[in-house]
Amino acid sequence: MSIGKNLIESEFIDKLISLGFSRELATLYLFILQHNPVKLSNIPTEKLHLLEPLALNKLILVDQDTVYSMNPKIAFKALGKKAIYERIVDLNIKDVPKVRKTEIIKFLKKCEDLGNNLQRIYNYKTPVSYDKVKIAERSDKLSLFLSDAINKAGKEILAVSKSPRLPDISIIWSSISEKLSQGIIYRRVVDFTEIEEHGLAIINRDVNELGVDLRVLDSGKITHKFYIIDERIVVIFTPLERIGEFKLGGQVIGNKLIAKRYKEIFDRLYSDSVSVKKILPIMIEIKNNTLNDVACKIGEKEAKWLEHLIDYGCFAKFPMFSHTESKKICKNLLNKGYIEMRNLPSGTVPIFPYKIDRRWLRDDRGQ
Amino acid sequence: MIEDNEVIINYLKYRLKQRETSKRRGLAIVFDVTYRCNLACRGCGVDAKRNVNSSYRESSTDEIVLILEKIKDYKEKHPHVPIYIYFGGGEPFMRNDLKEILKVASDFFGSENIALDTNGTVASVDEIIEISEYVNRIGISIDGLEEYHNWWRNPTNESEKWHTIIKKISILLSKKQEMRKKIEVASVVTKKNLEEIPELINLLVNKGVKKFVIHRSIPVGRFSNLLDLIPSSEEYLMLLRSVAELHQQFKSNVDIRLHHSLESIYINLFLNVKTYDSSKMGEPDIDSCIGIDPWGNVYFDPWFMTKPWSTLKGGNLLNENTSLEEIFQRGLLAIVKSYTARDVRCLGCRKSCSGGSRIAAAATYIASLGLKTSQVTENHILTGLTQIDPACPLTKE
Repeated sequence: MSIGKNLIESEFIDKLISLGFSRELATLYLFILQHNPVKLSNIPTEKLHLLEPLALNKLILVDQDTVYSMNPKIAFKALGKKAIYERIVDLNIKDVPKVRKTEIIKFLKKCEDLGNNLQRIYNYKTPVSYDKVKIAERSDKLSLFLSDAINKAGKEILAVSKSPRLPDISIIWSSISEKLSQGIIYRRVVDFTEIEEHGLAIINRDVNELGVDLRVLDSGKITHKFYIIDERIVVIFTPLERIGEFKLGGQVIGNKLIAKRYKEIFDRLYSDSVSVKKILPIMIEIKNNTLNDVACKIGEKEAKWLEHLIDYGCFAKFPMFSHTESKKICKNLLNKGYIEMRNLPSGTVPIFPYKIDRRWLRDDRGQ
Repeated sequence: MIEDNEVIINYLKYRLKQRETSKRRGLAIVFDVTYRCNLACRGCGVDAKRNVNSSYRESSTDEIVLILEKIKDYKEKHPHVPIYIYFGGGEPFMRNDLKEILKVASDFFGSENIALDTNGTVASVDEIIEISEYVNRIGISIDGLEEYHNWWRNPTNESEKWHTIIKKISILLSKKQEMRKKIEVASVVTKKNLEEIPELINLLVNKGVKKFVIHRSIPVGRFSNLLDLIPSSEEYLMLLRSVAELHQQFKSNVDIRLHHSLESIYINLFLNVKTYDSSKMGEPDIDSCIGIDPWGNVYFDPWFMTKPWSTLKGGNLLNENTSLEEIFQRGLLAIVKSYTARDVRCLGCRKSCSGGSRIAAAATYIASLGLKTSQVTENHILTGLTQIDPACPLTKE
């Protein structure tokens, strides 16, 4: 294995180092990027341990005996977003000090610029194809396959999903947001649990700013969990023994006939579902009433904490509160029945349950 | 497992040689022309009905001919692809137009490329002889000795019972010499008839039968309610030994073959011969095998023609604008090819066998979930296709 020491590469190595890569790691990553895909046997044994941090950060995907580089544009965007979400959720968040916000914007831009530039040397080759099946037993692999499949979308992305969701969605969301920016249609049917868990502000952004056609369906009616990309690729989740429950593993299937069948299923579930746009005003009303109630009965601080939770759901990081203070408020609101703890693949987190009337999800026939 | 198995190895070497010299290549089509049947076998894979209600309708003669014409169109566009059609059911002789259908098929594709599977109880000896000029092979189902066969097949009168069909086979073989080449006795093995298969074969060899095929139990159709009857991988190995011993006894005078999925596993494990070939789509003897039901629906596997499997059908040949070519282009053949890929089937087992039967793997997986047919989704089916074939000796029960 050798990488030429030309100027572009050394610049990339310096930039990767500035993001926290070691020189050795940066060198290996550039090699994989340029020679994508790389057989494991072509990587020196003493360097194999370096694959783990690359895989953990979703820059590469190891499938059988082959290492694939993820599209660097998407992978670095996801890396930047992941770092942000781990700290403050969203750049528009209130109460984030200006200096910190500037720092974050700079970091995100650095990641995005690097990803864009690395595309110049990226040898495009993906494991997902239009005529093969790929198995992903683990959630991390399925996330990468799904991201890779979404990157191929040229027309529309259709999804039917329910809890639990893949734990690390940054790479998937980066792929989706990239496609949304290109005008690709994204229709998604989910159970109400997802709406609660993703938070009102994020749902509002997805629907009203990014143009996601998000719809809600009673959880019991969601018997399939899948994505369809351009009626050519289907990503399915492995069902569990209990009906309507799924593992966080599955298959990517490149087959038009299977995609057509899943499109029929999607159309049926879509027409049975309700647009989130119809539910949002009800949710906002519930939010406002609850916050008033909490402010009166417990305190302003608690109301502020709860507002953050309602807006950002499982992504909430409460940057305006100390850890101890946040924990205390959480316990208090939990004891008083305003919130509940949910076990998600990413961990146990507080969630605001809307106690929504399930009839709302049935009465609207998708009009 | 492999030691002290000379008899088995010799038999598998013989079978491998036969397969290598076999003319069966190309596209096999199992065309079930009816789901009506005079019998009511306990484990019918297509859930064929003895009594159908007045609303039951299947393709007319003209429609069957239209389907055959569409297959012929495909053949004309792909003259290099040999096509072999197995007519089955249900009981195909329940159709009054069977002779006409077979004649058309024979005209289109040549009688050497046509086979018929029957329970042998509806047609008379003369009727069977009459249609024999249009077919290369007549498979007659006999599932065991008298008691078992009659228990399994639920006959309602003497003409449907074991002793009548055995007698009919004797007459057929004595009446026309050519029948010895065409008649093949087919048996489905279960836990209950496993031990009597050798005795059945011995008895029929004495009557002049030269060809036997032993199918495996696959829990689809009515068989999905009979999981307790499905042989274990150890029992399938016992069957292999019995068949190998029969081969040693009869040499090449009698052909006895096991279902291709079993042979492919055994040939790989015992002879260390690679039977995996991604271009063969799981059926090592041919390139692909599809199913067509009595209404013209096309499926990627002949075992996939009943619920819940039938949701993944490829299209209908009775639709004016649908051709077989188009159905294939939609990805019908690619389904089997994808799921027999080595990193997909049998949970990624690296052995170089064909992966056995994908439908047996899927059906067994789904049966193990204990779901009702209406609860089985496409997610279950596609997950099932990646599972391990339960007949594989490497499988722990």
